[in-house]
Amino acid sequence: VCDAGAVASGDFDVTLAAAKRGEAWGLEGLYRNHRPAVLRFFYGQHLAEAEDLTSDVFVSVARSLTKFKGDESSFRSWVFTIAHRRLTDHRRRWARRPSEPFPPERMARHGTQGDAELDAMSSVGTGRAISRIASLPPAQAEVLLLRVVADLPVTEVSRILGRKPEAIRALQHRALRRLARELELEPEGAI
Amino acid sequence: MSDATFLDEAMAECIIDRSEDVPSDLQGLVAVIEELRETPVPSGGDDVVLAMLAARQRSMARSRRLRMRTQSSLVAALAVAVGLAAAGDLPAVAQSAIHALLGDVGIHVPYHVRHPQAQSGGYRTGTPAIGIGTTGASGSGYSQRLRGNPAVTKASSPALKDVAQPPAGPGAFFSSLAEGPRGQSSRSESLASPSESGAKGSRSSALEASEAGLPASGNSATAVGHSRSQRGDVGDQPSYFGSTPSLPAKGKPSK
Repeated sequence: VCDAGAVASGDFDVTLAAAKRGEAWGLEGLYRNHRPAVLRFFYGQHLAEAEDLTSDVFVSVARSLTKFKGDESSFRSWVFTIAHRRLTDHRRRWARRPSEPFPPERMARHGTQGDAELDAMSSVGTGRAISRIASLPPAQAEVLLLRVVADLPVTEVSRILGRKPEAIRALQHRALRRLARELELEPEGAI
Repeated sequence: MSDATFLDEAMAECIIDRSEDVPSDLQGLVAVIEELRETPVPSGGDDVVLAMLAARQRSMARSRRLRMRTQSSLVAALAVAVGLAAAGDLPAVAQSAIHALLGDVGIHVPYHVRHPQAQSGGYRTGTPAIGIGTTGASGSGYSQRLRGNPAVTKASSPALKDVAQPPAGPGAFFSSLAEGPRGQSSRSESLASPSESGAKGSRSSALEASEAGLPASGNSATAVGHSRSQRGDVGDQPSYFGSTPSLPAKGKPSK
């Protein structure tokens, strides 16, 4: 039975307990609450397989959910730890066997016109903020995405990435300076 | 580059933390960060992923239940085994193994003690269920009476054969160590029933007699039983049942 009130009010503990018991609505609540941030995190890395990686992350979450203990911020940190590992795995795999993903624009020529999902993908792909973050060096982009999209503090980001907090602050500082420089170079009213 | 020099690490922290203290020169950067937070994402494929997650969760719950059942069954089986071992009711091999295993951790369970009743299979084979018992054709009455007589018990049981033969294997060796020297009272003998103690005495005399080639003195029933068992005619009516009625002749009612 779906306890919609618990999910809507964001009662994380109730939702988590239901998900641990294997109730579908609990798992769905966790997925719907955290999926957008994870997806933004992968889109910000300019990955065409962002949705597949997001699904992988939540499958891993479901697999290890019974072992998790903590509050919502701990849960978010845990989810993005898994996301970071999936990203590392993906990069390593891609470095070994590079592949060229089939672009959605070419797929649209072969399929039906006016697909809502493709439109949404296209709008995300052309999102200015995402495009700007994707133009950053990978380490800076990841730090900025974990700080902004995942809304994690410096200490958590340093733990996830295995770096010192000072290094994280330096990376986010460099990322913002680079973004500011790009904005300066753009013509007035671009944003 | 005025912005770059103005944007230090503390200001970067302020921008990310949505602080109000960000100067107007950096509002463009603040807008990019806010847009990054709120970037819309496609919602397609949620149903597939959710169905996959639910299926996975169900299978995990199932395997968790199975694991719990298996563990509780193992614990129950272990408890039963230890209980039976403490009572000394396990088969010889299992009793010896648990004795050795638990002895290592300081828990004492008795070593295997041979019970004649545990080897009752030999009584039934080849023994006609006639005459003596009143329990019908099952033969249990006859077998029970045979078990009550220590001489017959030892004569027809495989335990006597063990005495006549040298101990074979580590189990027999340790068993003989546990019993101590023959003819002396050891712990296992003190645990045994009086009838078994008597049977041991008659067993040793039967052994001496067989080694000397003479009939055992003082326990002719054992000697008779032994020789009968060696001949393989244990199914015959034993002569030491003096008060046992003879078999009725076929077609002739007994009175």
